[in-house]
Amino acid sequence: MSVLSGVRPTKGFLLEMQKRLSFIEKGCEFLKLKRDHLAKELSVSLDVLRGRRDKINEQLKKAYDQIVTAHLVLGPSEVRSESRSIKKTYEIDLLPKSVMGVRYPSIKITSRSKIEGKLDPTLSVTANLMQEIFEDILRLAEFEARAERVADELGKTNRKVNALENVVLPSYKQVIKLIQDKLDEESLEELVRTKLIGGAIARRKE
Amino acid sequence: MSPGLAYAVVRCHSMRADLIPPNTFKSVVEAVDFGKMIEILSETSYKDELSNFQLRAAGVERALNLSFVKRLEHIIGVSPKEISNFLSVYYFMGLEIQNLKRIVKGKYAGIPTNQIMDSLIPLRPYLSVRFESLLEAENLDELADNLAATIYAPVKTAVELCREYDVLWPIDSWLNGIYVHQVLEPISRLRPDDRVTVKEILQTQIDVENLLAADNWRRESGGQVPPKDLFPHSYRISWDILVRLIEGADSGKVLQGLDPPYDDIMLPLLAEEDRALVRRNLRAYVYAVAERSRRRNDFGFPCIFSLLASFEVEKDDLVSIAWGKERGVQLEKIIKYAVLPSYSNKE
Repeated sequence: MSVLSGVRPTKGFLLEMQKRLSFIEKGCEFLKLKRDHLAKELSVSLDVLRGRRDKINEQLKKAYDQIVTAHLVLGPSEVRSESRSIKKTYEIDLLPKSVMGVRYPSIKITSRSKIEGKLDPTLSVTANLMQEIFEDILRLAEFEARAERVADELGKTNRKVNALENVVLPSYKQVIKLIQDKLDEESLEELVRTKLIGGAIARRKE
Repeated sequence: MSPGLAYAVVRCHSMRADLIPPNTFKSVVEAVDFGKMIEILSETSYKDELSNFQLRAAGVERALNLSFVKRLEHIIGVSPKEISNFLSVYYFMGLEIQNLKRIVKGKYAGIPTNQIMDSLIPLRPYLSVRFESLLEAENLDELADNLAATIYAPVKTAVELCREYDVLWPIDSWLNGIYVHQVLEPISRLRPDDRVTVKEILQTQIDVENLLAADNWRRESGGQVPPKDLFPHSYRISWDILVRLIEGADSGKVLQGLDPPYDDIMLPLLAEEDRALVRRNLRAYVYAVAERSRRRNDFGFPCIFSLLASFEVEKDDLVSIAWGKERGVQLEKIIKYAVLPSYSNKE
């Protein structure tokens, strides 16, 4: 509904509109602060994400190289048999967390596979590395979800700030000006009318 | 030389023709892809076995294992009793133990029986072990109970140690110990110089396994010395050396100070922490010792033993090459971890 609909050129309505304008201006300021904070958060997150992705890519290359080596030396069926000796006990919990009111899923590892002493020495180092990578990927997924949601919220906040700055606030200001002009006009008419009546009364007395 | 031995030696000399010639091996290694490799292999002595399996790396592995077992059975069949006894224990029991280790690992992790079965080397049980009954076991304790009436009875103690320390490798260690103990018995009937060769190989294998396990324990436990029971057998690498390696303060020095052949075998661990290359070096060492003994006497036990060592190394190398080709692994990497190509390069 437009701000202009239902405009009443009264003093009370003007005060109400001025109160609303001040509230919206304050809200807009807060939204601007939130936008700046989210932008900062996103910029830091993107840098961290880039760094973590590079690190994981490096680690994956190293792990893949070691897995290939193990296959070449132990043979595929031995590697398969060794890898099966690890009990699948990875368990994770997804908990909601929030940054600047933006909710994102946080991953908590509640139990991990115990690989120490279970594997052939050729595979043991690789398995440890793979476990690290797996946990890094979980953390990266959490961070990516967070960055994605922060970016989403930043977009929304930006649109809100723009809408307030470019549409809502100008229209409120326009309405206030309109009412003020109307009230000024009415007050001038009242003054003229009073003067004219006062002049007529004076002429009648004469 | 007994007539039996003479016949076995002649058969082994003729069976050398079944080994892939160096030029063909070079073509296999340098084949552009897995399909081309199989095409070349299909023109070798592995032709029949390869035709029975799906042409994937896993199929090649099963086919080559089957081929190795057939050749082994054939050689054992023509060898004199004292040599065939030794070869049966040395090879068949070795393969049986490999299967046992896979069953133990599968049972420990609760893997379905059919999956464990698929990973086993196609082999008739060598000793009184029925793989089927072991596969039916619900857990490790039941499996150890099923082994109670066999020579693998000490596995029960290893299972208890595993539970106590929450590790699995002592079972491997104990099985290796049982293996060496069993192999040493028929060795006593071999000629003294042949006995020395086989003992040297066996002891080096166990010692290198101990060194790798000790290094792994150091890395995983942060230098805490385990009970000696976890390393039930050691030969030229004493318990003191293992303790110094585990304690970690001077592990580099310990590895540097090892006597030959351990210094060369373990060098990749010291230089680049490459445990896989240590294993490759160990295989190369076994092959080299067998070949060296054949050069000393090509008309006796060393001729038979080195042929089997060559078949085994060739099989393992072909399995790695097949896997490498299937996955598009770089040629340099395949060569680095294979025994035969690097030997032919050195020559």
